Amino acid sequence: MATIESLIPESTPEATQPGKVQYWFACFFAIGWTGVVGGGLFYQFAVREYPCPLCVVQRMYMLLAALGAAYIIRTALLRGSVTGRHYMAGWGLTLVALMGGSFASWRQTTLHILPGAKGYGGEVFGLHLYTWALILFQVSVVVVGIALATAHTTAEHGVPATGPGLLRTAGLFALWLLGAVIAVSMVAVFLEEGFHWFLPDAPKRYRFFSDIGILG
Amino acid sequence: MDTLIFGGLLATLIAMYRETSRMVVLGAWWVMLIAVTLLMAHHITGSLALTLSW
Repeated sequence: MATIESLIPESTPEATQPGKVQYWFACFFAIGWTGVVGGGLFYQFAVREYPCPLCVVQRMYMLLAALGAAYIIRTALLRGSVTGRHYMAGWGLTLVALMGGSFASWRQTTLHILPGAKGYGGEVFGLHLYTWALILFQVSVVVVGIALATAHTTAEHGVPATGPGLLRTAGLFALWLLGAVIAVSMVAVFLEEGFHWFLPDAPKRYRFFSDIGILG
Repeated sequence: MDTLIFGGLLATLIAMYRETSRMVVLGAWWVMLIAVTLLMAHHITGSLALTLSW
């Protein structure tokens, strides 16, 4: 049975500075994963590597994880406060997406794990992009776990982001950057996929241009 | 399919940005998760052929 203590907010909306840490972390998390997907897009166009179907799936899981953090940001922007339920919902979505991405990147890594296997695509600092993805997914799981475990100190209700200020600017920047990278990803994959339902296992060209007869 | 899923992800973010209800936002997120997972399952067509004992 709920007691009166459990119905009263744990604190007033006047949050302490450490209490806003999780909001800042949500911004950092969303921007960070957006940056990782942006890095993949840069690699795709600058180095002219065509992402394989599992690479694209990993990008989708990365963006889903970022959307979990975006849920927390969005709540603060709209309400000026984030309750424990909102933090849990956002990080819960993030953790589920991180596990899906972990499986996809693990699967792709193990496809090329046997001695002598060349792997798919180029390397960054000695590791293929899908191996980096696996590492980042797993590190993110740990970091989100730490964020949840320290919630009493780092996740107070009051996050005054409804009015002008640094909190709102950072949150809006994270959401707009995320939107821009999703939009660019959508165009990029459309060019690669063309008018087909699925990507080929090892893409060799942007099929959209051959579909409309510009390139052979 | 990939293009549609990215479109769905963008729509989910737009739903978040606008003052759409929590149920719609969370529902859209879960629909996208299922779509991505089904897409991944479609592309996993065989075993890893590893002879690992663990």
